[in-house]
Amino acid sequence: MDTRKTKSNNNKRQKIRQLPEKLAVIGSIILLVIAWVLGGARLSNLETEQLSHLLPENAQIVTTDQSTLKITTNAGQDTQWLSQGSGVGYGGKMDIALMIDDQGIIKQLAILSSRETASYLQKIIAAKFPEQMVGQSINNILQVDAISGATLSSSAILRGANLAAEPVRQELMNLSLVGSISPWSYFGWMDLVALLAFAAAWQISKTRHPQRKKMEWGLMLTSLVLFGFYASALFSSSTLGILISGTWISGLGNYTPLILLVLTVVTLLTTNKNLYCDMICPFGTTQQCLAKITNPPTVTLKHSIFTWLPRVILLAVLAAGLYFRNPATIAYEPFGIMFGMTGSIQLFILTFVIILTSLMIYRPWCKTLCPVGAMTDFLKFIKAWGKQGLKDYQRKTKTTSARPANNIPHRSLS
Amino acid sequence: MFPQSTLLDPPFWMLLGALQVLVFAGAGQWAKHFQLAMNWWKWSLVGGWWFSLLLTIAGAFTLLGENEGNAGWYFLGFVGTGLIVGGAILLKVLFVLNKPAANQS
Amino acid sequence: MEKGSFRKSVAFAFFTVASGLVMFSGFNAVGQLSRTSDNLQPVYITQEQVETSTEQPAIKLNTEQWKKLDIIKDMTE
Repeated sequence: MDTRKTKSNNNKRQKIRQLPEKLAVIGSIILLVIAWVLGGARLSNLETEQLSHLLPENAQIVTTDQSTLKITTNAGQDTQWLSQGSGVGYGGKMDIALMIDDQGIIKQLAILSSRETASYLQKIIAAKFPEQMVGQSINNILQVDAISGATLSSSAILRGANLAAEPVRQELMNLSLVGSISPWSYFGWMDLVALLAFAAAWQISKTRHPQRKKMEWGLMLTSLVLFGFYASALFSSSTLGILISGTWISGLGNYTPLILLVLTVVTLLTTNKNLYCDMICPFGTTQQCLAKITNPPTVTLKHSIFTWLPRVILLAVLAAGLYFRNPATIAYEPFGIMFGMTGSIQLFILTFVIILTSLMIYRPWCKTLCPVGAMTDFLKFIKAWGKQGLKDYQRKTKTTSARPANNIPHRSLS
Repeated sequence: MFPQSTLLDPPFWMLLGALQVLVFAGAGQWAKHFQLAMNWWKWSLVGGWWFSLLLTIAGAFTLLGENEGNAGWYFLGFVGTGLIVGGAILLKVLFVLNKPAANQS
Repeated sequence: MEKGSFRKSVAFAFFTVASGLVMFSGFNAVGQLSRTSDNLQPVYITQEQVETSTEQPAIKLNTEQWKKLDIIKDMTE
């Protein structure tokens, strides 16, 4: 009786000690939902405003389609067409609007919305990619060379423009040039490699083979080359933002980071192991390769701010991504610079700092600010909390069903 | 450093040259202290690394001076970081090559 | 013992610098996104049009002005 009481007291103490974490979990979810709702309101206001600004003065809208407007001005003498189309880029849907004249020449192009990371879009604009479509006739499929280092975003804009031109093509020239792209075409062999990598990581994590270390290194270096330098397919806080905001439903240019993220979450919840961080993440591998040179120790900073600040940063970034409906823009990881040489100046400096610090401390980014660490803590805590709750519930139902049996004496001596 | 001055420029560069001698003399003493068993090709590697570092810093700040701010900083960042990592690798290689020799003696 | 505290200070310095850079980069991005809605950033306009027009950019234009338009520049400008 006494041991049961101390056990339940200990249980209570542990539960109360975990109260800040529980509140943080609930608070985070509420905050993300609020951000999502407010973002929706903001977006509908924005789109109406944009459209009203694209229309010329004294314009009369003759025919209206979902995405195409025929605009006449000057008492019917000038006719233009305003049409919208969308392509699928790295961060999701990109909306393109075209102003086309009566001869089928593109007069104006506007990128209405973009979910790409800012530096990639700026690269495209600096290279005057949209300009090249202006002045082209929609008689033929619009063709522009993609900008190297931003191919997904380039082809998204191109496809959006072609889709926008399509209804006007049909109206003016009775032409239909754009084929449909099935969502399956966005999947590539890298996605299969992602699956294989996780399968390999899972196998290696279970084995007691003497060559286990070598196998781990083999997988890590392969990942570094394939997911890192070749495809730059690491997942980041923006991928997490894309996942929870549902923008992937309307299509993504590249599914590999999302698949890596989903597999990481699944293995984490089922096995409690973070196989991605241990054996696949190319940036972790980079830091570990650097650590091979100087063999630095792991340094753990004890104060709670070192645990909580990365979580707060991740939460803030996710909330902002949901509010602005633009998760890819607020990415703060150095992965883009390390493997793609694209990113803001602050992230460049951050990458150099991390590389140099990796010579003195083991895996500094992983142990401090990496959002995957914060995400892992979150998921593990929820899993443990859920398990605890389930156990308590089972214990309660067991005691209630057992009680009547205790009260009634089973054995009688007579 | 003082291209306009005939009085200051030669002594400056003579001083810089003398400092190089000090740097290498100091490096030699460190090598002896750590018992690194240096030979001619190891010294050329170290020398090459040192002069690459000097050239990188000189180049980066020249770019900065030529009003090429972004280029200067990116040059320093990329090549500088690469050199520091390279230097760490070089040091490790020197120590590793030294170990079997120490074990033999 | 000394080496341990040196590494601890390196770790602390790294954490401070890295957090600063991350937060700065984040603020920049959020600032850019919120400015977007005010400037109606997605619509491109020429410098010339901005100079000749007395109104804010991207407000209703007549056909002549639309015809004069070329494509433009930096949306962050």
